[in-house]
Amino acid sequence: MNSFYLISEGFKNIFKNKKSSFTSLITMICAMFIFGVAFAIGENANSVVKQVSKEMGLQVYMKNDATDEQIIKLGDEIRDLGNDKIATVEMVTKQQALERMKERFEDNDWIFEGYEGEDNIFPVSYVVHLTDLSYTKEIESKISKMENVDVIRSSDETVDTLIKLANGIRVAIMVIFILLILMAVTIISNTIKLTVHSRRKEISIMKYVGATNGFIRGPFVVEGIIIGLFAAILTIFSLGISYNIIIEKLQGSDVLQKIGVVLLKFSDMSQSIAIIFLLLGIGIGVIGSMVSMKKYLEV
Amino acid sequence: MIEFKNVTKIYETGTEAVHDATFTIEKGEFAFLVGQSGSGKSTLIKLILKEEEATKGNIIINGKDITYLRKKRVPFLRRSMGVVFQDFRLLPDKTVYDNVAFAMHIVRATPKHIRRQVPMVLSLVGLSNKAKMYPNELSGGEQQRVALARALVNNPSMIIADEPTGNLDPDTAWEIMKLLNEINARRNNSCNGYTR
Ligand SMILES: Nc1ncnc2c1ncn2[C@@H]1O[C@H](COP(=O)(O)OP(=O)(O)O)[C@@H](O)[C@H]1O
Ligand SMILES: [Mg+2]
Repeated sequence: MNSFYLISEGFKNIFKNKKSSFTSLITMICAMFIFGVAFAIGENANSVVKQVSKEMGLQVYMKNDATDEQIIKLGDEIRDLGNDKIATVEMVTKQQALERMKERFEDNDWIFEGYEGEDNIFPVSYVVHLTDLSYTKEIESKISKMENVDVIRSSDETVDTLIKLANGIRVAIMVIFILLILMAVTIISNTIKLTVHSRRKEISIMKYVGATNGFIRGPFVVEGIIIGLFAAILTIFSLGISYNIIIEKLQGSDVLQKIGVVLLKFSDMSQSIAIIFLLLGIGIGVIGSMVSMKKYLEV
Repeated sequence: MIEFKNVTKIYETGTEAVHDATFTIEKGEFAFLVGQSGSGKSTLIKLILKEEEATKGNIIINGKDITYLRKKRVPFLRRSMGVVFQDFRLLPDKTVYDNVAFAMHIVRATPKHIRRQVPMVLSLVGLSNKAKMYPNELSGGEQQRVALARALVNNPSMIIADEPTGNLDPDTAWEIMKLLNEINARRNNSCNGYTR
């Protein structure tokens, strides 16, 4: 079957039922837009979590009797856990640890007198930054099994809250995603049902002349795909424009600048949104037309 | 070739439309099935087209028993026969030419083949000068010729017509029958079943 025949029949179907095609286009745009907003919020939440997690890290304190060689070895071992999970590894020497403590106690730093040099009781430690907070537990348990490690500290509560938040948003997006798919399939299949119904005579004639189900289904699948693709393209544009307007306002606000968090640009996610929407448009077109045609192909 | 072996068709409603039918239509034969309205002529044709399943017995078409033909193969069975109905069954929004070409699209004929074949069958049924008209601009007899052209265009091995003249006045009906006979003479390797 040539593709020209398919596509022209698909467009004919759409124009035969202009009203319902238009309604389903608009409804699909709304559904996709809602998903797009949820997706944008989710991506930003993820990015904020990542930015914050770069600030936080694990503090790995070494046993006080560790030799210089052992100290260096531990650093290497931590780095060897892989740079897909480990962002940076910094050593804090005994001297640096003491100075930090002094800084922290500012006016009362006299209490650390007598702990200089040989008498320094502060252990060497490593500050390990992760690429993603969700690796915290895994890395923590791996490092704790390494030699000469005394204790590991992480800001557990903050980490947990952030991970929970990010996961919650992910689940919410999945739910919205599934609802959107169900909704869109219903809308599209109803629209196609109308065209199928208005062309049932033609379909029955096609069957008598020996058309296969695939051949008959073709133009209706194309109809669904065309509506899905148009909805996807229009949604990407409208989402992009409104996102940029809103982000510009938000980014200028004091709160965000104080925390030092940067929100994503639309171009950062437009590629994944485009891929999701286009696949969605095509998938919904195919499934929607299959669903709506089942009854009519039983001649 | 069409062969019925002890075929019975009982509809779900309990009506027995065909009772223990056994017959053979050979290649090149021009066969008529005559009977009162409601006697089961259309049902018999539906069985041949596998639009309905026989309740009992076997139907053999071109040497193949279609009793257990898979659903997926049904379109290919139908391509071996050209079908004409009492009510023409033309597409109102397609021209005469497109109504015929449509049947070739379905079997995925090449555009070149379509351009050659359609005018040929249209001239065979005497409609060359009406190719650009729409079905509602034609008389009943002309519409049935279009249907006949459509049935012939893919060179099926048999033509099956269900009361092809049922909706036509006697003169036009006679014309159509003469045309069918002519076509049968020309294509003496096909077998044809008609009901009237
Ligand atoms: N789909 C059907 N369901 C139930 N009964 C049917 C169906 N089609 C036809 N019949 C019955 O089967 C009998 C034969 O019908 P049909 O084959 O159409 O006869 P004919 O074409 O000779 O007029 C009739 O009694 C008719 O009412
Ligand atoms: Mg009948």
